[in-house]
Amino acid sequence: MIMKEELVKKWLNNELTAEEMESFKKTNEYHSYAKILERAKYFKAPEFDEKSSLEGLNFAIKSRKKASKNTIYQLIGAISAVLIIGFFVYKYVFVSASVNQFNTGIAKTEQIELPDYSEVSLNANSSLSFKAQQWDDERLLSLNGEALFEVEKGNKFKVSTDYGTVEVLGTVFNVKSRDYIFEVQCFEGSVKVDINKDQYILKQNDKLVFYNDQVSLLQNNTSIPDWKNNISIIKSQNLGNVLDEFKNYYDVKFDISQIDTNQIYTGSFSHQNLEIALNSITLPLGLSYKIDGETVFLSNK
Amino acid sequence: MKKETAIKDNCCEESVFAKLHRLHARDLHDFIYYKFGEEHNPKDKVQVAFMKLWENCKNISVDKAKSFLFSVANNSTLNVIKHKKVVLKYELKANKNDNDIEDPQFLMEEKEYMARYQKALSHLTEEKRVAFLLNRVEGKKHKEIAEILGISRKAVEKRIYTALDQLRKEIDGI
Repeated sequence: MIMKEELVKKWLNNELTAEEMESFKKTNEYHSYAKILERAKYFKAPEFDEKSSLEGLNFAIKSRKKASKNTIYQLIGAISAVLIIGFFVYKYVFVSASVNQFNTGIAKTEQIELPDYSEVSLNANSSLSFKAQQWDDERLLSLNGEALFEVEKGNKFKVSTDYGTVEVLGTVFNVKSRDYIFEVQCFEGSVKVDINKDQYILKQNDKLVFYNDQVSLLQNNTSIPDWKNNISIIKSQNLGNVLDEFKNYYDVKFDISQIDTNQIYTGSFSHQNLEIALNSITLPLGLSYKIDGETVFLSNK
Repeated sequence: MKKETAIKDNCCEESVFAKLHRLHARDLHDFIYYKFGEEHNPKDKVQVAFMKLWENCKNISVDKAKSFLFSVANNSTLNVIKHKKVVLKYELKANKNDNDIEDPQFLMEEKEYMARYQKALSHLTEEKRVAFLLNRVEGKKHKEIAEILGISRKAVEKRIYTALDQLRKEIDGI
């Protein structure tokens, strides 16, 4: 028996001589032993992911570090929390006491709710500001760009622009105040427009256009400004102005060295697809375009 | 500032700690698994041991880290299971080659054999089971197993042999 134990141990350690191996193979037990050793590998421990284990540890250590700082740190933490919250409360109060400013980038629009629940949709490349603190006394906003206003009933609601002011009591109207054009369109109620020392009262569907130092009054039966439908509709504008309008919705530059920008364009373009929009402008005018990066080269065909 | 208690060559350095993890985490995991089975979540036990090492890193030198890890892992599970049988899972598919799959009788016999093997393994004492499996499955040298279990190399050799002999007797129904 001792003999056998030594033999098996030697076998396990690969220390048997060829002769010993030969005789060991003839024993009854050999095949049982060999099969047990061979099958042992089926009991192999499940895969261990060293990397994720270390990651888990690093995470645990970090959060432990944070948690185990002593009370001084907790106190400091509490104080700074109070300061931070205080700062934001202060900032919020301060900001609302001063000027609320909204800016939209190219091809971006924003929906703004005013303190009296009036709503403003700010079109692309535009800015709007108002003083919330004084809102109850005077509903005054200043606009640079284009916006649609849905005004709750109340005291006077004024939109001030570089061209003049638009004043209402409660209504829906769109103001467009761009470098090349000023337009006010009234969709509901009535609007008073102060421009060049003249006053105009717009009723529903009235539209005022100030262009080339001239005011014209038009009728418009749409219930929503064109830009809310992601389209610009242009009537008899010179191409330069059209391209300026275009740049509110697409972040591109135009190379106009080869064309005449004073030609007049009437038509519309979409705000959602650059190539379709460019075709809408160039095809009627007999122009062609080439896009190179952010620059659009315009040329005569 | 005096740092009398802190050992100079300790494990607090993040890179040292990561290296220790790389060297020992897998072995630690396998050891815990073979000893206590899957039920006691070897992966968690590995993390617990390394967390303990991190907490005490100032007082543990790098060359003592390994034995510290194994004894912590060992102790953390000791209380939980005293008399519970450890049943290790096995995977049969490693054995399959195409001929075997086509022979249902062979498959049947193989299944029965592995079931007996599993039962026999669970009847081994944990010291024997750990020594046997670390050696035959993980290919650990007697010396390494001796370190892990804190026993002599002769004792390791003896355990592996008695484990094998006991397995044979039970599986063959002697």
